Amino acid sequence: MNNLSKWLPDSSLRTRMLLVFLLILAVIVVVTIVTVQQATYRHSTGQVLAHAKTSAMVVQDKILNQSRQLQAALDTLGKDFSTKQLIASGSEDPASLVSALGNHQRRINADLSWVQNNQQQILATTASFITSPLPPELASSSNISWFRLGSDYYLVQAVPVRYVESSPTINAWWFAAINARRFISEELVTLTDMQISLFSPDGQLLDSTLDEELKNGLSTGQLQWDSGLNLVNLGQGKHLDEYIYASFNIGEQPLSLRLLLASPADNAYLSYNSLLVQLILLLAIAGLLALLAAVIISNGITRPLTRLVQVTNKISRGQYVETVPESSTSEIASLSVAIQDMQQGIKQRELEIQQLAYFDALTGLPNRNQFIDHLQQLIHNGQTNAAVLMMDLDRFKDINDTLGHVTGDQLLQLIAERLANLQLSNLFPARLGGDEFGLIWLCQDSSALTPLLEAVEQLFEQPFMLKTLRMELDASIGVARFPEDGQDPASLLQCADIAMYSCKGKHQGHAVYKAELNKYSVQRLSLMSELRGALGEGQLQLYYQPKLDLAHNKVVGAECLVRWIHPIHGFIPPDQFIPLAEQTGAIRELTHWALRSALVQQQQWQEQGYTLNLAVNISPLDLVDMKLPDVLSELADILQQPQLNLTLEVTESAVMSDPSTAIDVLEKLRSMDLVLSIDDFGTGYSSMAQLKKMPVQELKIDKAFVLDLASNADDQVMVRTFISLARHLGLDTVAEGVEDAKTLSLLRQMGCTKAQGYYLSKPLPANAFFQWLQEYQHKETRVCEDG
Amino acid sequence: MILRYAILISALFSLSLQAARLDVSLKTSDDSVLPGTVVYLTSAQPLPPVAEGATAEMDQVNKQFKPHILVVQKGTQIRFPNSDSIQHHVYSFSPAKTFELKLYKDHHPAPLPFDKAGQVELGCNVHDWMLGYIMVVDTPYFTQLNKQGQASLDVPAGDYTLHIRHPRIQDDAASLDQAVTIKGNQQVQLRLKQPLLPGADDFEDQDEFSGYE
Repeated sequence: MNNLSKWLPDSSLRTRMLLVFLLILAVIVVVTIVTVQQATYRHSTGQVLAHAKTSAMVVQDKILNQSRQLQAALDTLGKDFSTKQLIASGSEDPASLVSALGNHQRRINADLSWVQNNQQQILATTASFITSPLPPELASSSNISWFRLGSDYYLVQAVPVRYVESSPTINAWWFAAINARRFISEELVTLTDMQISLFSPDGQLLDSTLDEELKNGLSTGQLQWDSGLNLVNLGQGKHLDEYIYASFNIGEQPLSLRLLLASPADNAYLSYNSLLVQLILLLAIAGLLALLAAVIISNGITRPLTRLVQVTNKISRGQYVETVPESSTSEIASLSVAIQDMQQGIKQRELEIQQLAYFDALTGLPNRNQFIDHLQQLIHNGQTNAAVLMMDLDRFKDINDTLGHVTGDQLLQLIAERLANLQLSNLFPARLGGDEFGLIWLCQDSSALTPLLEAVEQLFEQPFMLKTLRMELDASIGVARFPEDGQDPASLLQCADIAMYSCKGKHQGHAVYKAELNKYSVQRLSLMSELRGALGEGQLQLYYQPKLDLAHNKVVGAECLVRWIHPIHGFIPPDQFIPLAEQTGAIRELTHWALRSALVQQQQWQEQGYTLNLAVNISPLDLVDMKLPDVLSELADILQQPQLNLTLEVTESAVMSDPSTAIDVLEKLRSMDLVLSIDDFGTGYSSMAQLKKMPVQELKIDKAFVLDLASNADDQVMVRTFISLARHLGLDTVAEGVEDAKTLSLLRQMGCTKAQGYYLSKPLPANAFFQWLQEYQHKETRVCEDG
Repeated sequence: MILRYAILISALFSLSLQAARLDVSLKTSDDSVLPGTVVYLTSAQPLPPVAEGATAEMDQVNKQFKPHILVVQKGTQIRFPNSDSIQHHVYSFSPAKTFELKLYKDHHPAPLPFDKAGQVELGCNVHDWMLGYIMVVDTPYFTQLNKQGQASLDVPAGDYTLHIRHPRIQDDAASLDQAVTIKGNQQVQLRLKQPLLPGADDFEDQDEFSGYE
């Protein structure tokens, strides 16, 4: 089919159908013509031959009749008394006999006659060339007897003459002959409808009913004398002079002449030719009808197809049609139905896609897109006042991390449910993504936001029940007002976002956007891009907070804390840029920078005579990044310190997110003889099982337990327990947030290994720390000397 | 008549001393007989001529020649009466005697002389079936075979040539001739070699030949 289509001028269905129709028709035509031609030719030839045979019989019969007539005439004359008399006196009076013979010859319409006596001598003859007698028995037979007499062939008949009729003795023979040429007459042509020619036994033309010109053709032509039909051109090669002929022998004894019956080839095959013409005409008409049928059928298919194509084109442009054209052809009709179904399916899927595009799959609330569209629509429609509220859940990430995403999702669904059921009119809730929700409230006066804020804060008054879990949740809420804070959805959302983030640090329930907040948020945004530059430009510094060995009352180390002194914004607290660094991945470089700075500082102090163990905070990202051990050994090489005197502080949750990888990394670090410490111990959801597996040497008790230790009995129990736990696990303990002497002495009493806090010193820049250290050492020495 | 008797007497006289008899019988090739066959003897010796005024008769009876074969000695006058009530036209183109006689009822034409030996074939121009023969022989010693195919000739003893003739015999005439010396009672038996020519049965049913009249 592919091969075929290559040769087709046009690949349309109609053209193909037409071509196939034509091809089939052509094959039928050719086969029919060939078959009919052969059959008709055979039949026609058979008929021509049969006609020729019949005609030959007619001619032969006619000659035989003449022969018998001649015999009968001779017979009568031979019985005539005067004839007998003349014959009897023939030898004495031949002249009379000859004249009588001539007379009788005319009567019986013969060409020659003569009398032979019973001694086979010629008594008298009308032709001088009759000199030798003929065998009378042959000539008197009832058959056709030809003789060559003189230069011609004759039909010869003879009757015996008996002087006395009843006598057994034959007295003489009377011969009469008719020239063979005389049998060729126009009458035969009329009788047989064929041209008759007579030939001598050796093939010389005697006479023919054909025209003179054609006769010449006969005498010169190469004729076949077999029993079948043959073709000869008697003229100058013209088609009209083609004759079909058959030959027959006439007469048996003593010789036979050849009869040739010919008919113009055109005439002979007239019926055959006219039949062929009729057949071709018939097939041509059938061909036209077939073509017409092909056109009608193909139109019946292609027209509805074209209409269907138009419909599908419309559908592809997104225009749905009410009715798809129908067709009486079942295949087209089913195609039409299929297109209708397809349109239905497309409609359905479009709806689903729209649902996906504009609705949140988890909560069923409108999504951010629809939220923005809706807001846009409202503004476009001339809404005068509206409030855009954004909120996100506090510590939702922790919930996800510790209770799993399934629980997190269920929680989000519960919140969405409450949002949807808020008893406030003109509210449009949406889930903007993650734990972020949004609300559009159409209000009369954008300054009266109280009902909205109250309603939203009410959402979180009741705890959320998840199976057996009861959860108290808080959310940060930011509100932006239209048209005061922004004229378009993007700026309104940004304002609400800024307001919301402003709550985060302040433990406020909600904030309404103010221009000042924007400044802070702009700074926040620029920090993201500036952090990397800040590392290189020395805007970051390490501050050191001393760690006191409680047993020996000696400063043995310090925790290194990163401080960013921005040239424009001034001091930026770590809890603002560390999360940023974690988000952008810059935390790795930050950690590396901190490690290198700490080691360089440590080396410097070492040279000045102070050996200090420095502690550096490691981000959870550093733990999943296997590069950390390599970085450390590289630093050790550069600083030519085969043994790094470092403590790495890791939060519990950092280990919890990917415990197996984290433990692998920790094991590696441990093998480098680094001290590993768990930071903020007691605040996370640490698993004791995990703790057991972790290769750490130190627990750092969170300041939440230490700050009020002196006055809070519960904290004392907790801390005592932690310390006891650590001791049993073979771990050191470090308490941070020590702010008074009583706490310090309590910790020493409880057996805590080290202490850190404002009571000793706040974090200090390197120089200040070194100074403090020198002073503290000096004081301690003095106290010791005093003590 | 006187002359005739004189001859007869002289013959009787001259032969009386040497009277002899020839019995001839003839069988056809299929061993049947052919009655009416003419048997006659010729001789190198002069034989007695025909009697002066000797006549014979070939009648037409019931549209047939009667007799079928008439044998006469050369010089015999033959009358052609017509016993039928209808007209006949008797003719002969035989070289021995060519003639033509229109025979009307009760009309008696003059007898015709047959002076030449030979076979005269007679026909009737109005009745094609009529066929008769007159055998003119140059001897007084002739006869015809009877129904048994036998004949006897009483002739003076001497040397003769025996001739057998019949229109239906195809055998060469010369082959049937034979020299016979007749002394006392002589017998000759002959058998034809060739089959006979066809002949009308009528001829065979002719009345017994009455012989020479």
